[in-house]
Amino acid sequence: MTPPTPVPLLEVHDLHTHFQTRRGTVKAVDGVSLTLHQGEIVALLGESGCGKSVTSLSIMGLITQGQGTRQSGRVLFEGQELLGLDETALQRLRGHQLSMIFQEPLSSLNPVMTVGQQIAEVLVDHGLMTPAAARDKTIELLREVGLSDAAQRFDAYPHELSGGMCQRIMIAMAIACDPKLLIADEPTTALDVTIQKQILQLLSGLRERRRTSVLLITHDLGVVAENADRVLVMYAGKVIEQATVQQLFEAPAHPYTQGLIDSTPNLDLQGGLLASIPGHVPDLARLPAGCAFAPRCSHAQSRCHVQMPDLSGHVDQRKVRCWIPLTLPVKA
Amino acid sequence: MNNATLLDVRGLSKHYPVQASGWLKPPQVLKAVDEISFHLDEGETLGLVGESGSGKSTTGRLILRLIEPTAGQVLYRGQSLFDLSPQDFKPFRKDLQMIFQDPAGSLNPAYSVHDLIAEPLRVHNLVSTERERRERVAELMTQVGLDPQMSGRFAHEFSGGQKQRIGIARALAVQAKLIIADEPVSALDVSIQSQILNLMQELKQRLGLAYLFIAHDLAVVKHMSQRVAVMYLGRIVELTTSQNLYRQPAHPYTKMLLAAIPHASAQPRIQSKVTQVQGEIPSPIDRPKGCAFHTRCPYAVTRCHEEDPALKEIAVQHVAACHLI
Repeated sequence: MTPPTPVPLLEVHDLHTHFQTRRGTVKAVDGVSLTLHQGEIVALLGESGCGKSVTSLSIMGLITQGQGTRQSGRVLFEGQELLGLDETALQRLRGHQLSMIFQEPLSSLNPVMTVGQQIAEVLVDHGLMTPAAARDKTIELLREVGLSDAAQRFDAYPHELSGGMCQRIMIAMAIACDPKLLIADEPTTALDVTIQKQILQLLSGLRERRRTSVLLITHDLGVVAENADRVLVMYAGKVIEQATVQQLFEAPAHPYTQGLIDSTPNLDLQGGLLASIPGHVPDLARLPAGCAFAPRCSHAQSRCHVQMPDLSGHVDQRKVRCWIPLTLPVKA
Repeated sequence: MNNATLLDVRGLSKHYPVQASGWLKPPQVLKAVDEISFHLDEGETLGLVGESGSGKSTTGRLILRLIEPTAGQVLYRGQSLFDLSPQDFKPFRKDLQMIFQDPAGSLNPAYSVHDLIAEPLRVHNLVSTERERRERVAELMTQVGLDPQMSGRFAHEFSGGQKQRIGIARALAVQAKLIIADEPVSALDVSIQSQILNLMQELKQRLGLAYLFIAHDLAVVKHMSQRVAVMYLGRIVELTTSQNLYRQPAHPYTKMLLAAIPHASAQPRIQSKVTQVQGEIPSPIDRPKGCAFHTRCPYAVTRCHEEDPALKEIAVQHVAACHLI
C-alpha cells in the first residue's frame, strides 16, 4: 500500500440519500462517511439493497434532488463540494476528474456508435483534443486496456465484442481524461472468473501507473481481499464496519461481516454445511428499530433491538457499528 | 454411497448450423456440445464447470430433452431417453427435474405460490383431492423452508432466495430423483447463497437426490460435488473427484480457472505455476485447430496446435485431455 497523502482526494461526510415512496421513506444511504486518498483502492462491500450503488451514484451527482429525493451531507472532491453543484460544473468534472464504470458494460454502451467514437467523444467533449488527435489517443487507450488489434477495434460496435472486451472499452472511456477517481460499480459481476481476474489486474495496473484512486463497489469478498487496501462494509444503508483488508479478514468485528466471510464457499473448505446468516436483508422502507442487523444476529441482546449503535473506533481505519463487537477496534 | 449408475451420458452432441456471413460461403457449424460422456451415480452430485459458452447449460438441457440432441445417448437407469416418444417420456420427466439460475424468470408471475407448486402435482396426477393437494403443497413449502401461510402470495412478493426455494419445491413436488441445477445460486447474495446450498445438501441427504450441479463458481462446485467435470468449448477436458481436482488439477485450463478465483482471506494464496490468467474463450464456430485451449495455454507446444488430445486416464478416477500430461 502506498502511504496516503495528507489531503484526501474524496471525503464524504454524513451522506444521506432518501427516497419518498408510497411505502414510506427509503433510507438508501443513511449517514455514510468515507475518505479516499490518492492512489488508494477502497472497497464498498455489501449485498443487494445495502445502499452501496446509491452511495456511488450520489458521489457522482447522478441522483437528482427533488421530487421525493432528499440528499444531505457533504461530498468533497479535492476540497470542492460536489453535492448541489450545478449540472454544467458537474458535467465538467464527470468523465474528466472522476468517472465511473458499471456492472453491465453492454447496456452502458451506445449500440449504434462504434466503440472508438464513444471513447473519442469523451476527449473531444471535454475540449482536450481535436477529433483527429482523439482517434490516435483512443487507439492508444484501447491498447492500454489490453485489447488486441486496437486499430481495428476502433470501428467495432459493442455487439461485436464479448462482455469482457466491452468492460475494457468502458474502462478505456473512463480513463480517457486521466481521472483522479474511478468509481467501479460491480465491474466484474457479469463476467467469468477468468475475465474478472484480467479486468481487476487492469484496474490495479491503472493505480500503479497513473495513481488513479478506485472506489470499488462489490458484493464479492474475494474481490475485496485480492484488490482493495481498505474496505467499508455496508448493511441497510449504513457503514457497519471499516477496516484495512488485512484486519477485516483476520479479525472481523461485526457479526454480519463474520457471517459473510463464513458463508462464502472457499476452496480450503471441505464439503459439509456452510455457515449461513438466517433471514434476509431488511426492506429499507421498513427498517427494524435498533440495529438493522439485530433480527438476523445470533449475538443480539435486548439493547440491540432498541438502539442503533454508532460507528465507533479510535482510528479512522478501524471502526465498527455494534454494541457487542467480536473484536474490539483498538488503536493500531 | 450407492454405486448404481443413475444417468449415463454417451457421446452427447449438439451442433447448430450457422449461416455464414458471405452468401457464397458454406454454412458453418457451431458445436455447442461435442461428444461428451459421463455418468452420474444414485445420490451423487456431479459438478459441471466452465466459462460462459463452454456448453454446460446446453448439456443440462439436452439431458432433459428440452432441446433435441444431434448425436449421442442418455441412459437413465438403463433406459435410453432419446428413444422414447413424448408420451413415454413423461414419467421420466417426473424423475428428472431442473432448477434455474434466475428464479424470478422461471416462475409464472400470474400464479400464486400454491398454484406454482401444485402445477407439477396436477400435471402428473399425483394428488386426487383438493385437500390432499393443499396438504402436499404445505408439506413441500415446509420442506424448503417457506411458511405455508404464504401460499396465497405471488412470486414477486418474495426475495430472490425465497423464489429459488419455490423453484426447488416445484422440483421436489414430483419426487425427482435427479435435479439438474443450472447456476442455482449465482443470482443470489452471499448470505442467501449459503442458505440455498445448505438446503440442497439437506434435501439430498434426506431424499437421496442426485444433482448435476452446473456452475461457473469453482468454490461453490467444490463444496457441493463428489466429482467434477470441467468443460471447455463443448468438451470435457478433465473429470475427477472433487478432491483430486482441487489438490492435483491436471489440465492447464482447470489450473487457470482455479488461479482466477479470488481468495477471500487475509493470507495470500500459495499460487500454482499457472497464475497467468489470459485470453478469452474462442467462438465455438471457429474452434481452434488441435487442442482448443492452446490459444490461452501457457504450456502449449507445437503438437497442441495440430493434434486434438483425447481424454485419457491419468490416475484412478481421473481423466484429462492434454498432450502434456
